[in-house]
Amino acid sequence: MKQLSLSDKQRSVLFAYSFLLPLVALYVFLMFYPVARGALWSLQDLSLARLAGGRPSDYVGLDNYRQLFADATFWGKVVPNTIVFVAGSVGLQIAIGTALAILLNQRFIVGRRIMRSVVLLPWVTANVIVAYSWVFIYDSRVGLLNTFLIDLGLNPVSVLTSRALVMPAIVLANVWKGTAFAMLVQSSGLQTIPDELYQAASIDGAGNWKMITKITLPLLRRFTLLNILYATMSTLNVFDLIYIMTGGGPLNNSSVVGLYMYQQAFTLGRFGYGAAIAMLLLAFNFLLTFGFLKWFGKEAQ
Amino acid sequence: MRQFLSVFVLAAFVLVVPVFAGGDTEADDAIELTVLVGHWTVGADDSPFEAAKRELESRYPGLTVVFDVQQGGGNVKSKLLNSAAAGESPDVAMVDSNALGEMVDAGLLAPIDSYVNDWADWSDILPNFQRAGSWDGATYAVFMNTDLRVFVWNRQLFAAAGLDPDDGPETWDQVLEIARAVNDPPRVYGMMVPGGSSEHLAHRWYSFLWGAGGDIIADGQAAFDRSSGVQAAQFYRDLIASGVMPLDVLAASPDDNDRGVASGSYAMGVVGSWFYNYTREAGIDTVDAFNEAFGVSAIPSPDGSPSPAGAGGWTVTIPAQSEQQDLAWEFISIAMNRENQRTWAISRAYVPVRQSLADDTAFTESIPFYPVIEQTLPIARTRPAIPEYPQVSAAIQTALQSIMLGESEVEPALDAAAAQVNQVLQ
Repeated sequence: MKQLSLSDKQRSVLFAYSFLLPLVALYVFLMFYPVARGALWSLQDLSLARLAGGRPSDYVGLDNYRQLFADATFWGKVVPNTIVFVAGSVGLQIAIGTALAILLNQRFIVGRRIMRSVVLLPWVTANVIVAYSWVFIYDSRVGLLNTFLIDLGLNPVSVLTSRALVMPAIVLANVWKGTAFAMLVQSSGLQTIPDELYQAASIDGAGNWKMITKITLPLLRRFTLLNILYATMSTLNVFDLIYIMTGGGPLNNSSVVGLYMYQQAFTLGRFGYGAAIAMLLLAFNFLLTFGFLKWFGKEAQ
Repeated sequence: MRQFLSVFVLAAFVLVVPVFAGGDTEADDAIELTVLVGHWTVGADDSPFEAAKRELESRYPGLTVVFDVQQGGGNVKSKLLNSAAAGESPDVAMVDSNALGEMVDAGLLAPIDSYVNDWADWSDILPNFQRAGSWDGATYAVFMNTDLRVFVWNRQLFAAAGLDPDDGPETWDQVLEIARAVNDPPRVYGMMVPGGSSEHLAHRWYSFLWGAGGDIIADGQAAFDRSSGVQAAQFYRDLIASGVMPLDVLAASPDDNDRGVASGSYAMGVVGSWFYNYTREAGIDTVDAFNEAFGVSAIPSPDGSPSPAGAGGWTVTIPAQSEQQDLAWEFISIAMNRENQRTWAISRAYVPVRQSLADDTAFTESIPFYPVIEQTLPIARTRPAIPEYPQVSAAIQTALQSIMLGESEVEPALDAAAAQVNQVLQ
């Protein structure tokens, strides 16, 4: 049998690529296959029960997408809720995280390391615990918030069933949990700013506020961008926190895209429709990543 | 080349090993029987499943009965569907009676006629519940027990408000009137019906719908949007609008809503026949103490006649994918035998579906309001066991929630739900 003849260079290239093989195989298996399967499902009138029973499901073309684009609950409640949730969470997490990072970077603060660790505690707590803790805080009878209101002589508020308050309440819980990470990233950013800049500015007579706005924030820009990217992605796909706190209720008033997808697919068994929502979410994630990468590219230049 | 080959083999090994490592770790002769159950049915000595596990494991050394325990009824159903979709069905599965049609239609359950025909206990099960476990002429499920919805009121709160604690309301107007009299928010609200997204919301509302003379589906069409449905949904709206029922009922789980009634946070409520379990948690744990604390009746109606109670219940089935159906049946026949069912029903205040238990005095001693259940059972009604039922229920739940929240008026909300249901039923 004729030996396969390869040049040394070809051989070493092949050898190098062979190291990638396990990961590529895993990636194809765990990422591309499910996505492709989901894309196929989104074109089928597929119910979970029929899928489970191995019964065939009809291909219905773009019917699921047509329904999705005409879904009043999705566009009237779920999408606006998602925007409020993502914009509110990301904005506040980064604003508060940056403020905390700057504050805990000041020399005059005693016990800065301990304080940083304390701020990090919510971030290392499991989402399930965070969710139940906030449910308890908001409870309309025995919750901390309402006990406080009643002690002040005010009427208790049923936060998680109020159409107006439920989203802000969930955003608050998510900000409480996620701010620590934003602070951590911004803190590491602060370490990269040389002290000399502040000293020079101080000699030139700049006050604290000027130093923050003219030196700290501009030099933190790349870290802030990274923060926004990470926070947006993780918030956009949040599921457990809202699932536990309200289950999307009352009546989808706190439902976000990820949760709505789950409910359509797994609670109502509308797998094809759920897959169509998943595809839309995926497309949006792609767009977002693309946008951020462009933005990063510009920043780098 | 050899270098390349060795890396390739190593890579293949790394990929393949985890696939096998997860599977056959136990010895060759070990057998597992997987049983999908709801959290409320296991973990106690009096559980029929625990009894069957003990018995079966002693009969077959090397056999392990593994419970796949799911929190809440909704998760039991999701788990069955998901594991079946993954080709890993349990060997025995609990199925809510209202989902039987959907499950059988999807080909998920194995017919069990050949087993039940040889089973001595089968003839003891009430004929209507034998029928309720079948679909298209074949039997698929054994009913564990049934449950009914009843109306309950808190005697102490009635007395404190100057009302006769023995005199519960019979009409909806009386419910509203009494609720206003005892209402003292946020400590005590007048009335509770579950409002969160779950089958409990729809199922308990049906009693109001039936009480007003309506029906869920008639002649293959949605019927809940007719005048009786409007009246029943308007009653829910009135409860919220008059301030006697907080929107909290939409956020709390059905369990927690019932606990609210048990702990005196609500003066009245529509609860399940298992309500005694919740009062026991609250320390009201004897029949006398219960009857001193609570009054129970059939659910009021517009004209004062008792409303038909919704009857539900869980069944036990063998998934079609199970490769150990004989063993699965053996497990079911032990769990469902008369003695285990009697112990379970008595300890958990469930309503047995056995002829031989109908006059068992132990039930009057164990379920404080058993006489009310005995009165209600003949007029109890079940939900349509059609494959589309989950979507019917979901549409009704959405309509009721939007009515309670004031997002839409009663009639348009019910009309929209009916249109949706009719589309599904076509």
